[in-house]
Amino acid sequence: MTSSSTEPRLTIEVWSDVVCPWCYIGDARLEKVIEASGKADRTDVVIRGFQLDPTQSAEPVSAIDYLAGKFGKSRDEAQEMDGQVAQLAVAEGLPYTSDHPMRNTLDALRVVHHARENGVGWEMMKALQHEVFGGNQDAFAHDVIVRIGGELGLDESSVREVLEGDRHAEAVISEQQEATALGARGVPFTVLDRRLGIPGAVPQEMYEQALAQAWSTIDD
Amino acid sequence: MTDRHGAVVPATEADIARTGQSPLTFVTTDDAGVCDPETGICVVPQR
Repeated sequence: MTSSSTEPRLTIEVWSDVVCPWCYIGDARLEKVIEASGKADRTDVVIRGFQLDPTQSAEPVSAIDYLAGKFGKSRDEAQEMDGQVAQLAVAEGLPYTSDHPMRNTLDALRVVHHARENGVGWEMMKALQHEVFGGNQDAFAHDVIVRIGGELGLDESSVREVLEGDRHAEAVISEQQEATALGARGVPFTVLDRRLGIPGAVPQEMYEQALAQAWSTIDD
Repeated sequence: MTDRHGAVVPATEADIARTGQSPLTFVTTDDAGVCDPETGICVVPQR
């Protein structure tokens, strides 16, 4: 969403995690609002990583087993806990499988950072969320992430190199700390021009109001 | 802060406690869905 225009621009920073269902839903709503604003070509979305559970193992587990274990529930109860979020995701036109994979997301967020440096950060975050919540149990496999990178126009060997090392780890952690300093206590966390903050995934009309408020200052 | 209709309203003590000394003006609503890293819970808004 860039243009060569010298007109004023709006920067929207979105802190998000690959395994955060509300980020998945909120980003879809925000994207619709940006597209409908008539100012998408003057809007820059900067995606930033926010690890929901840095203590989580790198070994993928079923989200239902993860929820059940974390809250001492049965699988059926865990499935029910996730049911409302699932309905909302589907209402946004998003594929959603409650029994999606979960794991530590630092590696995925490092790749998102790499993608951002190459101009497709938000696209990478959305693509990874689609894989995860769409129910691909191999969503975190290196081959899958490399394939997504290639589809987004990234050099596949560069994506594999990021995955196999620890590049961008400090940057991801540092940006999460920055979000906390700005007042984030969870995700998604959306910031417009470092002036307006939107904690959580809000209804579409609130994204519209917030963008209108931000643009009214810029265009004044 | 703004209410769910976007009108600016004063921040409550709870808002300030939640957001600390943030330089941002927050747009908040009870309808917001958020994943909390401390509890691991992805809260479904109560309407």
